[in-house]
Amino acid sequence: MPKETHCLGTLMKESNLSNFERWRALGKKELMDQDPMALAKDSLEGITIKPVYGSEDVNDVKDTYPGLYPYSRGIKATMYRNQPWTIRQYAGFSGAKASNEFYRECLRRGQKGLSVAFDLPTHRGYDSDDPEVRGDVGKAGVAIDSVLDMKTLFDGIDLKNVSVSMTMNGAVLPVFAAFLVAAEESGVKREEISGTIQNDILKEFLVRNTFIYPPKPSMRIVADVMEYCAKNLPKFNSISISGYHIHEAGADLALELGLTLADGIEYVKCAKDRGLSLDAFAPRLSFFFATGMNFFMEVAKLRAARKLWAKIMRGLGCQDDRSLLLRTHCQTSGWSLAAKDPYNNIIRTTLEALSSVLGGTQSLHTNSFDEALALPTPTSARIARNTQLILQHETGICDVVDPLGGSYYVEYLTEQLVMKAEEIIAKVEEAGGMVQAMLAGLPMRWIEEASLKRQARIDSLQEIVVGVNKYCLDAEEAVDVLRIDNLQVIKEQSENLSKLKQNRDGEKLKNCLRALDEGARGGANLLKLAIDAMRCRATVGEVSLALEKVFGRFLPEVSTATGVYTAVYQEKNDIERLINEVEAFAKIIGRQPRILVAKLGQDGHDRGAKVIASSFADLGFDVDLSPLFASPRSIARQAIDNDVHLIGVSTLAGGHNSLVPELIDELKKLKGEDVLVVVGGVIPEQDHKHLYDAGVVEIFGPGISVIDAARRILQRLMQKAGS
Amino acid sequence: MSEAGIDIVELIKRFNAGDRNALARAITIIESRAEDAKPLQNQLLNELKPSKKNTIRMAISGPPGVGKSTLINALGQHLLKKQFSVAILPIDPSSDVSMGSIMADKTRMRALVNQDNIYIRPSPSKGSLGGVTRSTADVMFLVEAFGFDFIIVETLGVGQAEWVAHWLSDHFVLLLQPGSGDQLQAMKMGILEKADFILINKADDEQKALAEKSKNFLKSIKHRVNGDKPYVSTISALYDIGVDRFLQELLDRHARKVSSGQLAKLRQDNRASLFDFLFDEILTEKLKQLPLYLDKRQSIAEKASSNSLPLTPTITFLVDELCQNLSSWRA
Repeated sequence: MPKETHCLGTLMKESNLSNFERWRALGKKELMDQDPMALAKDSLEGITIKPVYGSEDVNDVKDTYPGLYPYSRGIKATMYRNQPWTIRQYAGFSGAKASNEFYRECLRRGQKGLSVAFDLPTHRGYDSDDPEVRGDVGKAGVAIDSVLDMKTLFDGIDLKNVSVSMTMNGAVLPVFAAFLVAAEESGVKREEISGTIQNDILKEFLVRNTFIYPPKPSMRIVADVMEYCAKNLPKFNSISISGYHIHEAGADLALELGLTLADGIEYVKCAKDRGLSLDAFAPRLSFFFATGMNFFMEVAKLRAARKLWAKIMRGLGCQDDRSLLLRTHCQTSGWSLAAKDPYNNIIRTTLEALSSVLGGTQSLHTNSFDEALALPTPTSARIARNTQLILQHETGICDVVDPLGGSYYVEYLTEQLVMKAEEIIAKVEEAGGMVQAMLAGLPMRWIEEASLKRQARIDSLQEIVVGVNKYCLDAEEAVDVLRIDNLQVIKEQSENLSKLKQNRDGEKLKNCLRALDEGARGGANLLKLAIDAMRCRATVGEVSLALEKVFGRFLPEVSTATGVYTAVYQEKNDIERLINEVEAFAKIIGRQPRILVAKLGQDGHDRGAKVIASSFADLGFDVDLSPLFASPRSIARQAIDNDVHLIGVSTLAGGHNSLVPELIDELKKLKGEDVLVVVGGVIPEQDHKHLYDAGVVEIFGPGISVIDAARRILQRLMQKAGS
Repeated sequence: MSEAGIDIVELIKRFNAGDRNALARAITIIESRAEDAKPLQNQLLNELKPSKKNTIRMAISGPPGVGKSTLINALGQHLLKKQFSVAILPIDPSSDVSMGSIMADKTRMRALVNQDNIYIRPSPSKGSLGGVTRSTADVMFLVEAFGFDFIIVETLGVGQAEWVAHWLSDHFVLLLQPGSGDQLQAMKMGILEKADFILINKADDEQKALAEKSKNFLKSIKHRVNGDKPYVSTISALYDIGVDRFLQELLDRHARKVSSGQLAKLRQDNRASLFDFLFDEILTEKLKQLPLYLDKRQSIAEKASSNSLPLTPTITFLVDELCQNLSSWRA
């Protein structure tokens, strides 16, 4: 008996050792006596990533199935097994005719839905013939001025069967109205039209800056569009609540998720305040996320988003299950694309597409590999589209619903992201909701801090980007890029505009614009009035201006954090050395090097400009910031008034070829030719010569380290001081 | 060689001819910390003729984020309508670590940026000096000599110690948040006593009632030992509410001060205070550059840190020793 007991004891002891502990012991051996759990590290989101996960990490996760609450495994029971995601490529450039030809080609080649990219003047409510916006017409999207352009854009495309997504926020009223009138005049009924209008103004105030009016009237316009859609367009998503731009501005994934859902909550409140019943509009809310390179975290993000949204909507009192579903579009991250060794971007996009799909997206855009350089060419667009076709047809991924469901790691990440996002939502709520938080500048500060941390991690090689900060090419290969003849687009658009203006009933138009004015002062639905105006052949600019007269045009403040970059950057020696070099310069010259960081034209993407401003100040530069949407003349004047040593122009929307030489001309006219001009952003190799010839002294592409840029600039200034 | 190594005679000529670029460069020279800029600075200040116009000098103080730049944006537009030419001199904080700074003032003064009759020149603080920089007084001299007739200094806004900004101005404006009870507590009335105008900003929408409450509180407390009662009012800089009324009051008071001779007296007193202050500043700076001082300072520091005696007597003793050395060295 005693002997038996003894045996049992040893046995008990052995089996008492859990599998985890046995793994840990093995790991320790492999690591020469180091505990493998010491390999745990923190993600950007602040989530601890352990080297292994097991069942004990997912104790709280309940078994569930796709299509069932809380929908973490997918919003439909059969998902891609029944119907794969929609391949929806975002595109648009030049004028309506060129974009229409491109769309038709895409549809012939397997694309299922359209997604329209508008140019910046259209976003900001200017007509193409407005002298304010010359540099940006037709550059980063298609120029649309009226119903006629919209009809050309969809010529020969069956709007009954092809769903159309439109990225439009600031000028949502005239542009969406033009679309609806174009559909109506081609014989499509309102209830047959399907698609999505982005209509997400909050994230414009947070990050993208393509708003027109101040926050209050802007939110009213959002509600007008939601109300009109709820009543007239049963198959149309009246809003696409977008985390994409928040992600691209540098937010980590928890922040992207939390802020996007907080935006969603604000819109729900806004529609409820309008008197809409929750279940009448909630099923038409849609979402839009970015997919970056953190593979499993991205999968978990989409799962967490669905779970959290279902919980939130149930909490808000939704009765209809369809109101709980988070339906989303995804786009691979543009920020993750590198200008250096750009063919690598094909691989990046493929992986990002894969995680979007494993996360259960409803539709997907895959970026073209050359988008860090310019707009895609037909070849790069084909590769991007085929990436999705290959995933759908060659990999077997569509055979099983939610193949990663039950993965210890992915389930753990999902739970962690839910928790982190809930914390962020709570902080926003505490500030009084998103509008109040935004007015106080809170979310912008969080995003900027995250973005600076990320930049510092890359610059100090804590994050490797192949071909950018490691394994770089000695000489970059030239890549063909698409060029837009901007002057030709302006000419054609201007001709169309004058034709339009000759052939319309001036009296009727005047009445429509007056109705808009009165509607803006009162409480009428502005989308309905905008539809009347566009039907009478008003232009996008005219409708926007009519409302601007009542609401005013919103001019944002620019704020920046300091001290973040140098705090995260690990090679403290690099920083100290540079600060000393700057100080040496300051000693000789009598002041710090002074730089005016400027955005030119209608391009509101100011992440790059802010990163430069903040980190340069950390490195000892005196940094002046100029208001957004400034003309070249105004920037030149500010540079001279502040007596800066140089202007750093940040450009991402393709307007550089005209705007930068114009700036240098203005400097000459104002006798400020001793101010140096450097340019950073998305600038194709082919344009470099043109810019250098115009007088630019340095060009910095995406992926340049801030430290390197600062050093090169300092050398330039030293040279100049020595000469 | 510093940037100041330029043809100063030519610069003065252009300055006097009204060339705005020359004004911008002159300010750079005045602010320069380079040794070889000193003679040029003196030449500039000596050769440029003081303004003959009756300029109005105003300083705006208040905590960061209260809306000083936004107020200036609104104020500037009213001043333009009244045919003033305006120089705006915002002071922005420099980092202690890197000496760098971010100057985003123009992003908040959009309506003024492209105006010919307005000149905005932000300056990095490079170590604050009572809310402004060492050179602010001289920069004010320059913009007045150039012909601007309304000068606005926007102080660093760090709180109670903005006394130099006060000495530089005819009208010292304090801008506060609604409900800033804690802020006032922190100021211990020091700056309140100096303010000629106390404005409570953001009196719009939800904060209107709170702003009114703050106004009544501020009106009830005792200010200033002598002089005018301060003007206390709520405004909204963002929506331009109450800004014109404030400006009119300022212009009226200014006119009264001019005709009563009070202004001349005020400027004289301020000048005396500023003299004392700058004299000490410049003297200390000069002293610090003497090799003898540097040596002595070093040994003082070593001695002080090597024993555990109380600091003040140790320093006093050693400074006395330094002074004796100095006087014998002089002789």
